[in-house]
Amino acid sequence: MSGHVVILAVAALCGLAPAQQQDPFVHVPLRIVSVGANDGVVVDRGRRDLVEVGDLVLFTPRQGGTYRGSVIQVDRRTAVVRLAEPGFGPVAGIAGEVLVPRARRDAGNPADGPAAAPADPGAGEVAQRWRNRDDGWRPGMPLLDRERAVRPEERPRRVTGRAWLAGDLVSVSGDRSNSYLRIGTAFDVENVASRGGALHFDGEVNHRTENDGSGFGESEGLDAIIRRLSYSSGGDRFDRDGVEVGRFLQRGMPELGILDGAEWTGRADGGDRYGVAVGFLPEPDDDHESGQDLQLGAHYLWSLDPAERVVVGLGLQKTFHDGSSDRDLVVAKVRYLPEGPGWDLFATGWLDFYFGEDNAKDAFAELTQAYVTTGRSWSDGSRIDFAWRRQRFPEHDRQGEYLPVLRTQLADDRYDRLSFAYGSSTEWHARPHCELAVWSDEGDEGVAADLGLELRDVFTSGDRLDLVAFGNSGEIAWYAGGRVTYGVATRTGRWDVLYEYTFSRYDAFADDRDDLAQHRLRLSDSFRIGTAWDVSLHGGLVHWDGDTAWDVGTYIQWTF
Amino acid sequence: MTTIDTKPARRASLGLILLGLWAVAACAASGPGDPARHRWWAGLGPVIPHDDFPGDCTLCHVGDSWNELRDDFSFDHAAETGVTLRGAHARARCLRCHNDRGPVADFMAQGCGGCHGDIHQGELGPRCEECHTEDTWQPFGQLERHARTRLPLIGAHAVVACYRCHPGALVGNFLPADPNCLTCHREELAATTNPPHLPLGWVDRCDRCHLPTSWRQGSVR
Repeated sequence: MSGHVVILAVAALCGLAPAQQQDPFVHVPLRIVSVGANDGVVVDRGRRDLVEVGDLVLFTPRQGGTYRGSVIQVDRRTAVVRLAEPGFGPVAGIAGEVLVPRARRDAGNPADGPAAAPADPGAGEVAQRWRNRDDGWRPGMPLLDRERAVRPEERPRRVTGRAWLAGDLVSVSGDRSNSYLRIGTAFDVENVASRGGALHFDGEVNHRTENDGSGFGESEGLDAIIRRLSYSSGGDRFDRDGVEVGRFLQRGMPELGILDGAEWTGRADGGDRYGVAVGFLPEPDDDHESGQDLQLGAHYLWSLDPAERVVVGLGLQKTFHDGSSDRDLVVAKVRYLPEGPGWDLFATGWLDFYFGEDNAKDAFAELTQAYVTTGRSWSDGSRIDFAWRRQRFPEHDRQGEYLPVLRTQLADDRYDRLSFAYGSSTEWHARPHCELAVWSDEGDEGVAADLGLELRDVFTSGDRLDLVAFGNSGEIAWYAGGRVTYGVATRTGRWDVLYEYTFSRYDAFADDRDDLAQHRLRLSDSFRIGTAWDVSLHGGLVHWDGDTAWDVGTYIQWTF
Repeated sequence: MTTIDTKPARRASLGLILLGLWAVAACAASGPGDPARHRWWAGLGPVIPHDDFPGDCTLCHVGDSWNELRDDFSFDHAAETGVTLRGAHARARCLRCHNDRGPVADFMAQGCGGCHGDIHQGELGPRCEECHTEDTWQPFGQLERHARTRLPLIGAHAVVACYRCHPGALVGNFLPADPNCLTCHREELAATTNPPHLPLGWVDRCDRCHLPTSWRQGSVR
């Protein structure tokens, strides 16, 4: 009998145990959204989640371990947590949970809950005015199962952009001068024709004067430049095909340049992008004259991951100058981006093909331009970079890409530059940095080096003092000098002062008059006025070998 | 062709053949795939995910339109998303970045080029921050950067407008350029009569007699 009683008692206790051992806390998942100073982090839970000061937080980073913290401040949707354990390196995105007492949840928190709103007499009217349709909704589905996105053609017409004015005046020893005044605007008009497309414009009018002091070398020019005047449609999540017509920078492969014509781009399900473009290439100078160079272009970008961190691209450009076959260009590019700190790679090559008999190039194909850079970044902001640049003159009939050169230059000129750059942690108050480069061209070679130390918060909070020593074995001389830059970030912008001394010695001179010293001083100030105006002012002095030049300039921009 | 004393080249149209090959490759590579892979084309609803937002839409929106935000709308981007916006980015409209082209995080991961078209057409590399800041597109430090090239700008060259040597500077085109004196000073050479440089055959190695120190003619050292 007593044995049965014991068995029943144990069974009863076992049955009651789950109720008695119910977790007294509700584990509310959270994530770190930002990391502040003094071991404080901001998490995405707040009063509305019934979090209160003093609640225990447990962080569980992906690499393992559990780290504790406690809530020290609570807002409606966020809370600040002080970390309790050293050795934990919090970064945004780390998951965790806050332990909210179950009793608090059961009791509710009427003080912070949504206030009971009085009946809105205008609610019916609002519902009548609600314009958006519910596509994809079927009876039985929750009413707000999926909110329908507003299509571009259903949105109000909107104009956004900027207008700006820039001016520069340079005077050399009082008798030579040049000036430059530019007024420009760039804007987009969304849903311009109620079909979801957008109108784009980017252009300027500029006035230039030059006076060489001789009385014969005065010149003056007034130019208008239109960089973009186009209409684009599609190419978004509602329409994978995109079209742009007018004057525009080719969207899919900007290496092919600005075009007066039309471009069609598409996107495959896997994320690859491709397109074709037909039109005339404006000459790539300030005149942008067009109508001589017809382009047939195409590109394909293989995207190996959803975020396009690994992309391999190929572009083809066939041009006809005044109806005659001209340039055959292949552009190849590779991009690799790490998900966090790590190695990255950008590489672009311009490969020109030459056919026929009457040209300056001996080769069938030539790498006329290349830019390859790879670097590694660390989480503290330090970084190293290696870069290689190649530059040759491509042979083609298009005008304006470079100043006229001799046939021998076209055939032989080349420039290769290999560089290494290092910048130490951005968290350090004293931050060494350097760049070392070697270069080689068709007739010479040289090296260049910058060694610098950047100091922060030297005289006041937010200031920056940069000390740089540099040297360069250049094409016709060698140079050495130093540069001091001091700048302060203000509440609305920043100002900087720069002084630079350069000593140069020219190789071809045999006597003692081959030395030249130059002093350069520059001041600049940039600030905002309100939310729509940006102003930059700058001025400088350059003194060398008995001549002194000064310059002043401004840039004023209104954003709308 | 911007050369002197050269005849136009005649070339076959292999480019057209390459274009044809591209078309075949494009068709072959763009086969069916998983449309949800990139989260680009699916009807995602609002551009900015609202899953974690308060239920009271009128906290941010004006009555009957998802496109209009309240005049007193404010959003602490750093606190709410962990991404701090600086300079022009802090003052930009939300939809400049959060729009129909796709998830903004994907574009942001690609650096400046993920959102901004490269008017330099790839020739100046991907490190935009070396010349531009988040406050303005006005470039900075051109002379300092030029000091690392094979032709540092000294004397008269330090105060001349960029476009005098880089004819496409106003439209972002700086390459290719050549440090040979004649590339920029050909007209001056032809106009020099005392002494007459051309008849004497003095057409190169200008640096044997001249320094880039002055605009004055005949500044022979």
